[in-house]
Amino acid sequence: MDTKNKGFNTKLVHAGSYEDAFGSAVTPIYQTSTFSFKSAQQGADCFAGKSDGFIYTRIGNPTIKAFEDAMADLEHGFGGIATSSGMSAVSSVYMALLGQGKHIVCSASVYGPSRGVLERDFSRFGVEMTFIDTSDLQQIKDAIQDNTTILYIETPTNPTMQLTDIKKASEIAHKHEITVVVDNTFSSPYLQNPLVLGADVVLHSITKYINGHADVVGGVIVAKEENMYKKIRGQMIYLGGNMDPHQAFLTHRGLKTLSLRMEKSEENAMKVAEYLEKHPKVEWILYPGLKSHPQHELAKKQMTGFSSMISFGLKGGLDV
Amino acid sequence: MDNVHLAALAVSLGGVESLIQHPTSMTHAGMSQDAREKAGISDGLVRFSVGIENVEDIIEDLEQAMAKIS
Repeated sequence: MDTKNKGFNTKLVHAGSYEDAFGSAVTPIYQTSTFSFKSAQQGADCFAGKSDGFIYTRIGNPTIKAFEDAMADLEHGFGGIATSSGMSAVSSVYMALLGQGKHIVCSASVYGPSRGVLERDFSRFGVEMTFIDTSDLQQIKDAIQDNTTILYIETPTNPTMQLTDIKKASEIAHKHEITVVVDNTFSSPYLQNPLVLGADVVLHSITKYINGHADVVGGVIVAKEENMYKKIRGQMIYLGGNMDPHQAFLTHRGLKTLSLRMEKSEENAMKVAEYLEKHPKVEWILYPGLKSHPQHELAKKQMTGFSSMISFGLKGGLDV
Repeated sequence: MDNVHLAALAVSLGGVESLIQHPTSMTHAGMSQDAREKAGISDGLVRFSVGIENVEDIIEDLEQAMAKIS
């Protein structure tokens, strides 16, 4: 069903749904490693990219494609690339866009392994990196080098809840032809659309809000433009970081209730945040929905809600 | 944190269930102390992922855990 011009909730339920030979109401789990060709010519056409047919599940699979198409629609991109984990999505993007002598500018406070794989592994392959507070646009300007290829942003950051102005950061990066990658895990497309704000690539650990039921580990990448999509997809295929059909089925199932879950968890988070903010034993609290959050105004401008992640500290530290 | 019962003491986030964790010793333990400090991740930071349970139950759980802090 073409959901391009439909509302967000309609997209959640119907994007990525295709008729099959049996009239299945939802996309079945195509639990198959390989797909037979109708003829040698059709097989050759598939490999040459002249036919849309499926070849091999590491490259593509109908159940996975249904989820990828839904995510591409929700994030307003050209195409989606589902991966085995959030880190598989991160590594695919890094591998596609970095290389010996290339440089990445990255938010200092990001998901631990997103930074760790750069420091521990990509450094071994000659990749240079600078970790900064991307919420400070001047720091982005100062960190950019001639060999910078990625500006990697997480907003809000994990776990420090700092926001980066995606639109302004993208304008800075694009002057230097740098690809802007945003980890949108903390917000989901329900609250924030980085590609609409100016980013080139958005990625998620779908383990979190997208699937939402703590029963699947996975990731997804959405690229705004076709060339970038093809570049990252090719990298994911060679890395072998594909999602599994069963993972894709469960994730797509979870995705359909994203709005309902986000609305309820955010409503709860606001009440929990207000409770913690008033609590005498709480030293500090960071929740973008509170007026006390230093970037509450940016959150209101850039996001359509505040999600449900709260960071706080107790008086006297954790061991009191 | 051991006294919180409704919220599971676990990493990950964004699910229907509430989860609580300590980044310094868990999700961000791989970073050096210096890198954590520069990134603003203090040792006392507690991260709470609020789920879709009844909010009064979530707060009651936090309340009883807070009461055990002397």
